[in-house]
Amino acid sequence: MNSNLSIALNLLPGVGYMHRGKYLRGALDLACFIIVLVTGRALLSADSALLALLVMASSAYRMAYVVHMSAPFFQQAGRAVGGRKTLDPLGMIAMLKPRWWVSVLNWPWLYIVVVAMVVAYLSRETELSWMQIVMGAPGALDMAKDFLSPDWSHLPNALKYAMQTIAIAILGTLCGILIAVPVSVFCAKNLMQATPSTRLVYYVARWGMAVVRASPTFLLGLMFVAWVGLGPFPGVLAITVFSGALMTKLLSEAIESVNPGPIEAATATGANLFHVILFSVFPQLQTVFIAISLYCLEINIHSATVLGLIGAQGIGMPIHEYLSSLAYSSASVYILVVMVITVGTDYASGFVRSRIK
Amino acid sequence: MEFLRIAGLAKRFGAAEYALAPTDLVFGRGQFVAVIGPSGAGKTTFLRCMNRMIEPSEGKIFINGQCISSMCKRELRQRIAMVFQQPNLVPRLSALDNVLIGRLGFMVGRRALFPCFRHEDRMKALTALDRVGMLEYAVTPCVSLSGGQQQRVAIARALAQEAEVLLADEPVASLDPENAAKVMELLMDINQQDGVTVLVNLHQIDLARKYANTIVAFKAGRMVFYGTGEEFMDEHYRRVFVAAAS
Repeated sequence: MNSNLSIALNLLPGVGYMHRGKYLRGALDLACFIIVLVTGRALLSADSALLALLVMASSAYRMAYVVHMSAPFFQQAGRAVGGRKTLDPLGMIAMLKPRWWVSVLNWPWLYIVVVAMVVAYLSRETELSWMQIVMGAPGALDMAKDFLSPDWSHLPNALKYAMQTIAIAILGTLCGILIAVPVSVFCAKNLMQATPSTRLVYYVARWGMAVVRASPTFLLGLMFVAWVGLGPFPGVLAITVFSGALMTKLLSEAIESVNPGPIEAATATGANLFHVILFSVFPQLQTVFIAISLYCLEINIHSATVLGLIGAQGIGMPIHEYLSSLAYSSASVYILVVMVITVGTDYASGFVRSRIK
Repeated sequence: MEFLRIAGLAKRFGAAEYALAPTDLVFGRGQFVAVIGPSGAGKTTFLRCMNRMIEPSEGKIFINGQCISSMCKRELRQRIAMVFQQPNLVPRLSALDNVLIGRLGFMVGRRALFPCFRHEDRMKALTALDRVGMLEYAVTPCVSLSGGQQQRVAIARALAQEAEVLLADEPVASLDPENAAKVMELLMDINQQDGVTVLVNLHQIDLARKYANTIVAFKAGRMVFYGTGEEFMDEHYRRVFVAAAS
């Protein structure tokens, strides 16, 4: 009875690995097996016992092959050169006698089935439909044609809106920097460990910034539109808050990794924390600061575009309007301008960052 | 003449054993003291208790009859300058800006809120740089100075404080012998010209014998020797260093 149970257990994928002390690999195999069972049940809406049996058989076969076949195989391969227990490549090849189905049996069927099942399950969840891809093609072709023949009379207007987007992004970034520089000091663990009160400030600031970062720019934008009305102003506010929180995180991590020596030296001269930060911490951060600001500006130009969709003007607004009125040849001009801006800022900030290091 | 009195000074970290067992010492003004001992003997703890970079757990330190735990830290650290094993300079700033950091303790009142250095601060910093022979590098970023030069700038930073006591925590440990000698000469010069009381942590006994007029030896957190350099014999050396290794 006991031995029967252990044989049955050994048929479970992964148990063989666990017996050999490879617990992680065993757990992975078991998890895969469970995924196969669950998704198989959901997909086939029938008992997936057959599938499970198949996978188990494959897994058991692989295990048996690894455990039982390898030892005598190695012995025999060794014996081919005069009974010595060394491995002889020629003997190994002679023993292998390749057959195509042997290699097919040896494929990692468990993993193949898992990936297939997960893809099948997720595509059902996301309503993936191959038919729609084929049926909708003519419409997409028309749209592409419109896109490829941009209506250049919109270009001056597009540039005007682009300037507005860039203005939103730059102003938002600058205000974000104004927030981030002082707050990042409060979020830096190494500067805030001195007394219980500073530690409290550290935790409050850290949690506050985490909450702000967790809310997407989109949500912030909607909130500020409801607050101050439509127009570019709520976009500036949303970007200020979001990039302020993002820069705070990046800057405070930079502060935490500065060399503690100069801080200690400045403290030993009797300077207070404010002076230590000003004369000993910030001077170490110049290049990091520039890099972080440029990175945030890049992100902000991107999100300033997106914010146009929810009423915070800039170039996102005409794109949204033209797209929803199916005027693709007009929209394409605006989209092209956005692409040029994005690629341009990406390249420019990359260039500057490579220069300052 | 009694200047620094250390009464029952001890430090333990948490509930562990004494990092520094209760120690009583008296130093006069203008003494050059070398604190020697193997690593982990409590030298650094001893030195850092002096300017309260580490708060002592027991005992008191009096500077000119005034208890240091009754002074505010800024007041105390204005009077006690410190030099470290590493120069601890801000690499991007010029030597002058780094020396000016030594004047930060004097920024009080309205100047504390809107910090800027006065003309006299700059003059003091430049004088200190001249004193250590680094005046020509005043506007050079410290990152491009050599290790010995950086340590001299660090000493200039301590000099700019115009302190009464100078603590040096293994100032020559990461320098080559030539630069080490230069730095020790400088410390001795400061000691003799300005009458500054100097406490140096060292682990090279020859440097201690050569420059210091008082040697204090620590071993495993306990003071095992106090006396002049001539009194420090080979048997003391063995007791401090060799027995620790076996």
